Amino acid sequence: MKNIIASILFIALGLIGFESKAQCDTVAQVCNEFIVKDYISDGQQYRSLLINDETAEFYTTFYGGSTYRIAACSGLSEGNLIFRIFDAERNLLFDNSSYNNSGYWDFTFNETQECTIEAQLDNSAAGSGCAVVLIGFKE
Amino acid sequence: MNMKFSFKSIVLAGLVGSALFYSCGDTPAESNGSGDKPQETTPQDSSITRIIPVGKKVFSIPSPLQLSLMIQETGAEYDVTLLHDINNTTKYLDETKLALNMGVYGADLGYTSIYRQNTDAIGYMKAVKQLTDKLEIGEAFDKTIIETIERNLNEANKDSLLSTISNAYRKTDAYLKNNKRTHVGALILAGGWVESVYFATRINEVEKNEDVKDRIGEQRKALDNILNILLKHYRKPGVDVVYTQLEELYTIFEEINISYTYEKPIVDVENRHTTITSKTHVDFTAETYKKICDKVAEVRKTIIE
Repeated sequence: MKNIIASILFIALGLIGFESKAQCDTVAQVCNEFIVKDYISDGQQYRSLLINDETAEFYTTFYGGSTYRIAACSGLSEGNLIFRIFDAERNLLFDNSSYNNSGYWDFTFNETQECTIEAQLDNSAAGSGCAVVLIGFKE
Repeated sequence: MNMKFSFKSIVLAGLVGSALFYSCGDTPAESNGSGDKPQETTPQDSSITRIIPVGKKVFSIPSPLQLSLMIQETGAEYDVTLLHDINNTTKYLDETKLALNMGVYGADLGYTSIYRQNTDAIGYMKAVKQLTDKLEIGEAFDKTIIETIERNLNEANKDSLLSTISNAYRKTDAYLKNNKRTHVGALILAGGWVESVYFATRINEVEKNEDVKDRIGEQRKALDNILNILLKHYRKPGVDVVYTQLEELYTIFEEINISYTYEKPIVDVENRHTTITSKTHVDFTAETYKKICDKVAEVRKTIIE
């Protein structure tokens, strides 16, 4: 009996792990639609599982003279993820919640900047989920 | 007794479940099992003093392709002598060397593609493929991708070629994260970064371009991010060697003075576009610049040897 319960629990937990990966992969696929052909991916996929009001932080450098597209997604539709961009001095540069939680936004950086992208689930849409951020640059 | 067993099972299950659940992210807790509390690292090397950051922090490295594109824009000629020897793929046997050199060859593939040197690019693509097979990540960098790159090499569209290469690396990155091999992904990033900065330093010996020099100086944060990523995998065989060298390089980068002035961004809501107008100024001496160039060459030599 003990073994049966342990086995069931283990299988159930394995399925949870598998599902979380599958969820991230699905969200990434949806998000990739925003990186249209004018933009070249930076070759990385940034992902973090969020629960309730947890915040994920993505640290990055944007080169001066370049235009980037940042796509930030959770779930299968646009608008589930709030993302904000701060400079190295914590000045707010952008907040997508001012623009209906837009799933993507383009940025031209006149000069190189070190930034932090903070991503948080819009709790009116979901209690937990995989947050995916993709960055593409324009040649 | 039965109750005890159930309780233990639930606790154990909770722990296993948490580990599985968080395995999707690239968080510090995922890699070192340290939980959510911040902690000072306790590596064997006492020179390591970085603090593993708390919470869900993800570190990003600019694409090596961007530096190569910038080099091309300066008018610098294609220089095949900068690139790593494609015949060296058989030299690498352990996972760390394979991953680092996959990053190196990937940056070389990008450089040759940007300059439309198709014959060289095919050679580098084969080198990358050999390393992906040895790393057993051929599933991510599969035959379809190779065929697409080959097809794009024969077409005039440089953008789609670079997109295909970048997407292949992103797919590899996701595959490694899904399969709990984030350390391999971190090493690929590190190798690619070193190779692209090496291009910039070597080309600028001839070009003496101030923009390229500034771009090299601006790599401080990218290097900081690489160190943060690698630190999570410090105990993997061979990682400590490259980490220590890159940390020595970072110490030189710390001599650079970067000043910053915030200015309010300009927003174009209709086109979902924001222009960031803040000012950044990079200031470093010729001596520091030379030290950076020498150290980058040294790190690269260690990686490719």
